[in-house]
Amino acid sequence: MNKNKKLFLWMGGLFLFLLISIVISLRIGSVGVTIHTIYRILVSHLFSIPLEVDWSTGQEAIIWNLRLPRILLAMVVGGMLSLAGVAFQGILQNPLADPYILGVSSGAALGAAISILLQTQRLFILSTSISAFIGAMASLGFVLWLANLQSRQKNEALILAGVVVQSLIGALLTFAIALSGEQMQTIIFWMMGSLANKEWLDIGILLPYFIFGFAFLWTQHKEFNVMALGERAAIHLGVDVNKKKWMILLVASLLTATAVSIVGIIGFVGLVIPHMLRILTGPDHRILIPVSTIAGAIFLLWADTIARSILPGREIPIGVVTALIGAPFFAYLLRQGLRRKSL
Amino acid sequence: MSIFEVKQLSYQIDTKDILNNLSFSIQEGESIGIIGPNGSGKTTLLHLMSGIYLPKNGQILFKDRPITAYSKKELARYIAFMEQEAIPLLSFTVEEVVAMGRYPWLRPFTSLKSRDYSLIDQILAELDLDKKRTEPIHSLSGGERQLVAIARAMVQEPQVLFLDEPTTYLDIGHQVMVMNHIRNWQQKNNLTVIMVLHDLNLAAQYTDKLILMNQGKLQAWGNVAEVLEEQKLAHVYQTKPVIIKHPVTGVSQILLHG
Repeated sequence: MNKNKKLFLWMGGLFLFLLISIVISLRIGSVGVTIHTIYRILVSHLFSIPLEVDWSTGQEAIIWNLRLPRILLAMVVGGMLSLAGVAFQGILQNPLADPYILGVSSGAALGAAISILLQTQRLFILSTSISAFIGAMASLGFVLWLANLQSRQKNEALILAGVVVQSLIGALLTFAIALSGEQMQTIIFWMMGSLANKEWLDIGILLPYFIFGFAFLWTQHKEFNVMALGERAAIHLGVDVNKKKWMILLVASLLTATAVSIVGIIGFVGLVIPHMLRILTGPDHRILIPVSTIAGAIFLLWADTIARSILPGREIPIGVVTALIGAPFFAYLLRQGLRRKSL
Repeated sequence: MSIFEVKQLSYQIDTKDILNNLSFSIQEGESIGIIGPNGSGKTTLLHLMSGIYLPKNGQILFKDRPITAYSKKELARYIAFMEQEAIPLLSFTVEEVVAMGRYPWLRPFTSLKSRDYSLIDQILAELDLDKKRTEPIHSLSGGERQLVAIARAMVQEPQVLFLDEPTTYLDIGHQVMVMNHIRNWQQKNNLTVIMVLHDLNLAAQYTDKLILMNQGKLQAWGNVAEVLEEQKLAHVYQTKPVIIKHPVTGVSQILLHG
């Protein structure tokens, strides 16, 4: 069918764009390294081919230990947040649902921060992820309860509930960090996100969640499509709507929580990317889920490249970049989408 | 063979009786209209019979098995349900929406086969929707959207079709078009049709038997002419109608005194 062709073409194109983005981003930074040298460093590491070393150890450290893991981490986090956005929008039937706007990211950040401040990792390595997940689920539950899904103005109600929960959790988070005697810098890290000072290990922690989340959500594409007709229609077609809804909300929250526990709160990725891709490729989730994931990876890779290179010698939080792009987009959707009631 | 057997069915919501001790059976291939005033329990009965609500008191047998014994997906292969649906948020095309009718027949991790596609093509052609197949569902009129809903239900290949007010918001031309399509389908496939209708005249024209509900009870049940009697309707609707014979088809029709 031509749907397969469409999927193949979009995936191919986006992968190519992603590869080019990786190469360009590897070059950007205060220390210049030529493409040729980057290529040789990568080849020597990836395939353990003993090439003649014509680069400095500084260059090697910058490419292999700083830029590459950071780029890969941005990709994984971008993919996870975008995937979570597709899932939240699909399952809540709300075009404005996104892990950040729903307060799920804030809840996850609070959970993770508490775990880190209490140093629970000494007891159990995954405790930060679990704590973030609990925080994410608690705040999602609270937002959904506040917004009361039955209400007529459910778009507006959901956003208001998200704002309330975000403010509350933001205050709690700041308070917790202040109590612990940490610096402003840490607070900004949690509130606006950062990919600085990350290692290969962080990618290793996120990758299993990412792979599991993607595989699970993609296999639900038919259910996503049918549920987009409305919950009642989905029930008539034999979907166990309540069960699916909770499973998908759990997985989307898990994706958000684990990403946030490593990089802090990065907003709007899950809002902007699925929307753009829906306009470009149509609403079929079989295509939408994978293309949004790759596009999210590309988006965050570029957002982080800007965050680390736009001011010489210093970084700006990545959440600043995504919010500068995402918030106006959100404003636009709020005006357009709510008026037309369709997307 | 009776396809549905309802035995002593009662249903409460928050201690309020919605349905009270209903018993009746429906034969395969029949066309049944459920009529009655607002709040008489028509839609609740439809939801119980289609397996969306679970019966608390009494029993509903579908093909000699309790309706609760079927899985949701299994039931969706036997039963299609059309109701007033919200326009979907996402801009699916006519073709995509109709294809979703195949969902109950798809196994996990599989997608549509060529047999599914030829069925979809055939039904789109039958309902004269093939020119609109790539149009987004939002761009259609109310009548066209109802045709898409019929097409989706047909693609589902059910043995029973439930309809909740299929003609609400439609002009008379579209009302007749929708009802004719459903009748053609019923006669061709020996489909059992069970529909809630407000319009008693449409009910009289398009059904074999009527169930007249009043305050959760079965007020009358039988052939159209037996149920549409002045006293019965006057009692249930609290207004006295005039009943005449349709000059062309001969079925009972209702006029209001005003």
